[in-house]
Amino acid sequence: MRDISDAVTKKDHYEKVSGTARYIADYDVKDALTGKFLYSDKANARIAAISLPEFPPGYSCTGGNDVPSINEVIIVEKDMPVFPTEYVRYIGEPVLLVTGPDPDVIDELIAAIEVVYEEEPPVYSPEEASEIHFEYGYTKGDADKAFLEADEILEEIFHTGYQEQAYMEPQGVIASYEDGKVTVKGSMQCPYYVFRAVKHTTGLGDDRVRIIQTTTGGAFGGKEDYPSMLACRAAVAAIRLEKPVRIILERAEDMASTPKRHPARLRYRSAVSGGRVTAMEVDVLLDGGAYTTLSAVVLQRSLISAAGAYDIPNLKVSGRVAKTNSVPSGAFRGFGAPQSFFAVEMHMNHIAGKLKEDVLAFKRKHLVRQGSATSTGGIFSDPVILEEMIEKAADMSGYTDKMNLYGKMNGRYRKGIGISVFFHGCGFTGAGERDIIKARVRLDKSPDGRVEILVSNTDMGQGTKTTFSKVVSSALEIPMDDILIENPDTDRVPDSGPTVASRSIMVTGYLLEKAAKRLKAEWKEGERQLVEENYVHHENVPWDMDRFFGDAYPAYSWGVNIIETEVDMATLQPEIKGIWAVFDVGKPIDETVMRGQAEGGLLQGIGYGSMEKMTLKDGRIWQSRFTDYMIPTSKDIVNMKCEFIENAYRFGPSGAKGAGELPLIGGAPAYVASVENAIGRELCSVPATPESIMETLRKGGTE
Amino acid sequence: MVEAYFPENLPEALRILGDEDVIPYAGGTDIMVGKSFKKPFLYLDKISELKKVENLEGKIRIGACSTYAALLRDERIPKVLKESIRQIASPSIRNLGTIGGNICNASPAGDTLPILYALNAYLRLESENGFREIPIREFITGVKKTARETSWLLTEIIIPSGEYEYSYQKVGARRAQAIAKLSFVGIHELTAGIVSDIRIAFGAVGTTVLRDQKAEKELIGKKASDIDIPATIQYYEKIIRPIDDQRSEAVYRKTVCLNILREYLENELTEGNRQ
Repeated sequence: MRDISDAVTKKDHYEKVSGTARYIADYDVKDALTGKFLYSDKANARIAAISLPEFPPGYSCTGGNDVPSINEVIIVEKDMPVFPTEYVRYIGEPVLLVTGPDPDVIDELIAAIEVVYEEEPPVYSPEEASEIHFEYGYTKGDADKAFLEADEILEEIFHTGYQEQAYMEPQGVIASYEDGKVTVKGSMQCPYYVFRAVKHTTGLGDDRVRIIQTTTGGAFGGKEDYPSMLACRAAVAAIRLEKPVRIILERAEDMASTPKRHPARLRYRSAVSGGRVTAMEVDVLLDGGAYTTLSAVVLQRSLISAAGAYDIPNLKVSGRVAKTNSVPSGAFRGFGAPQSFFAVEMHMNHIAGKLKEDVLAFKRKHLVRQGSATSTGGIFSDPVILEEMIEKAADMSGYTDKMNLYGKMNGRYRKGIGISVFFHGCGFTGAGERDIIKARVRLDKSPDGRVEILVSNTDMGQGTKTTFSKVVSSALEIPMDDILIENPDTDRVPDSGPTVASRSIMVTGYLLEKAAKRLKAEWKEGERQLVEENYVHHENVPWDMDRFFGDAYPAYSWGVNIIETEVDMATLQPEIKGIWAVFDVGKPIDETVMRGQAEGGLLQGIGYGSMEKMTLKDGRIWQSRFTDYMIPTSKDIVNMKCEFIENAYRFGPSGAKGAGELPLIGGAPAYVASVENAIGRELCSVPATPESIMETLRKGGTE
Repeated sequence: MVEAYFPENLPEALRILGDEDVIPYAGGTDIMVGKSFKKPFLYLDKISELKKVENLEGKIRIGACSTYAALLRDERIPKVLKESIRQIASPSIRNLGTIGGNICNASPAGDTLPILYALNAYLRLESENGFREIPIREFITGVKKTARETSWLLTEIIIPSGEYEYSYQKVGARRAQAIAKLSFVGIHELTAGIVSDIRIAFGAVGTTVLRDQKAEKELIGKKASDIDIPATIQYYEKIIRPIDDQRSEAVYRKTVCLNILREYLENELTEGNRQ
């Protein structure tokens, strides 16, 4: 049999390249009303009164008092209203949904609605916030003792900014209500999240709610939480009006009002004894915005990743998510880890610099190995091949020679090189897979021998239709063409969990492999057969959420990135000269799909580190158009050299581990390290725009 | 609903302009980013007179509706202008966008504008009742503001031919599809080591292009190696007054303008690119 990594034509290749794929905006639903939001333009205010203009026939508006059951959107917590009735908590919060046939008339009606607000002082700065959404902490060993005995103590503060997912297809849903059943179709990652949210808001039973994912044009985490909010709002209006309601966001409103990556302030304090880091004290402050969304889990991942890929014997880690009057922060590829890995990687570089040690040698002597304890007292029980990966990345890039040459250049153009070492915990944090998700998959074999995959994981461009099909086709030893897979519809598919946390291939894919192997063993020619498989948890040290202790993830994927830049000292614009990456994702299920994930993720990470700047101005997102919010294009980089080293995981299909988020994580620290190397100054924030590099140089005195 | 006119020749377009308040549509790459259009469009892309390029009597006359892509293919277009065009947006925008559109849009960050100021370009405006020709610096009056009256149309951009060295740099947040944070152009001619002509312009650091002829006059007639660079930098430091906005910061813009000017005066004045 050929190797499962060999690339195949993607399952959705034809519809994507021919343009026949239908995205939510392409659905022409009979009698559908357009829905548009009246957004709050106050960051923190009581709604004192709303005065409505006269609505022409066919037009109406829906608000919090129209919610049939409970005016809450369930994400993890229930603090977000479907529509606020008393208070607005951020600029861009949807207050009312105006519906009708003609979008232009709706715009005029929205402009004519008067909301009287009684303003209260808003809080924009997480440091100044008096309320927090979440707080966690943990310790390992005895950090206090290590600090007392330290030769040197180094303390630094790092800042990371918002990052916008910038999916090509904006958010959108169509909700309809017929015969007592509500159906929501739309662009989304997690149909069963939307299912639970709509059930809660509408009070309808399991058989009265149906969620269908439509072909989704990118998500990157941005369609993990927000579709639940949008679906609830559309469903409330559809039920009230008994007509289909269609909401498709414009780009500017999408960028200004939907969740993005949490800005973070990370304080690192390290004890160094005998040339080694003996303890780290880390405090993470995330800007959660007005509502909790997924912030609890984002913070957990951020804290678990705080020590990076290093074996630090003593840790004291704490973190909070501040409640501010800004757009709620939410999920974005990496989910709290990119903030911590940026900080810890830069911190390790800076410690090495202070000790006048070679950065790579310094990092190498701290690396975790198989059998090492994790930050939370779990065990890295599978082989860790970081040494081999570093060796390979250094060889590919000529790292050592360049490192010796760069960093002391003069003149207008100066070169630098930087390296990052990182991991991503695959699957849900803690015991989430075991206690919350409990994934289930189903294979439905028809009498003609074709097999349909029934799972709730969505293909949002990352290729799961193809990779799931390959896993099943390979286990059953039948052709790919005999495997069917549609966009999930909750009336048809079991809940195999959300499409998040780098879990699809490793968790759902493994269940599919098991189901397929069983189907092969039980195969009966000419008969319909159904096979189901349920999640089984594997762990060494059981996760204890109260103590924040144990195996935080079932498995880890690993990465090493090296980036080379040349900085124009007149403009402080770095130009990327080289990008090298080595990843351990267990076993790539499809080399082309994996390369797409690797290169796309790495570019997104480089964007995070270099130019993706999003800020609030008076509580409003200031860069809400693609003219102002910059994501890198192919002209900003050179060809990436990405390699994969196989390191099969026992409980992944053909040995595959999580791969979707990993490639983003190392981009920013490797990029910023290369710029630091070129300019000879330490940088502590991303995005490291030319403006912020200039500020660092100014603060540092003469250049 | 948008109403539109599709004139086939210039007189027809000028007649419509005389009769009605319309938006001349010259590529549409900026205008279509907006949302609602209260006036009808006057599409100019069928008018061949507006796409001609001619080299007459020491002047290059460029039809206002020449697309960027067409200008890049034309040997008569000054190299320094081409260099700025090459860095505009993306191929698809360059296929549609026009030089006249870039001028009439009058964005402080318009990419061709500093070059046109430095080349002493002037503009031909026509109406049913006649024509006039004015320097570009008199045409652009502020942010998105021009001296064009509604019945007039920009028909030609006229650039005096010449031989000179040039240096151009656009600074944007990325290498394509980026609005300039700032841009710089320097044009000069040396005769036996003496600066016989020099023109310096900055884009995106003021409401309109910054070009200061007083400063230029100070440099003309001096030996290139005798220029008082610190004094020149100090002079420009006083007159460059950029702002903070969503794309960059005033201090960055100003510092980089001066850095590039210094590089130009120190290193490029004697070894620029030849037009």
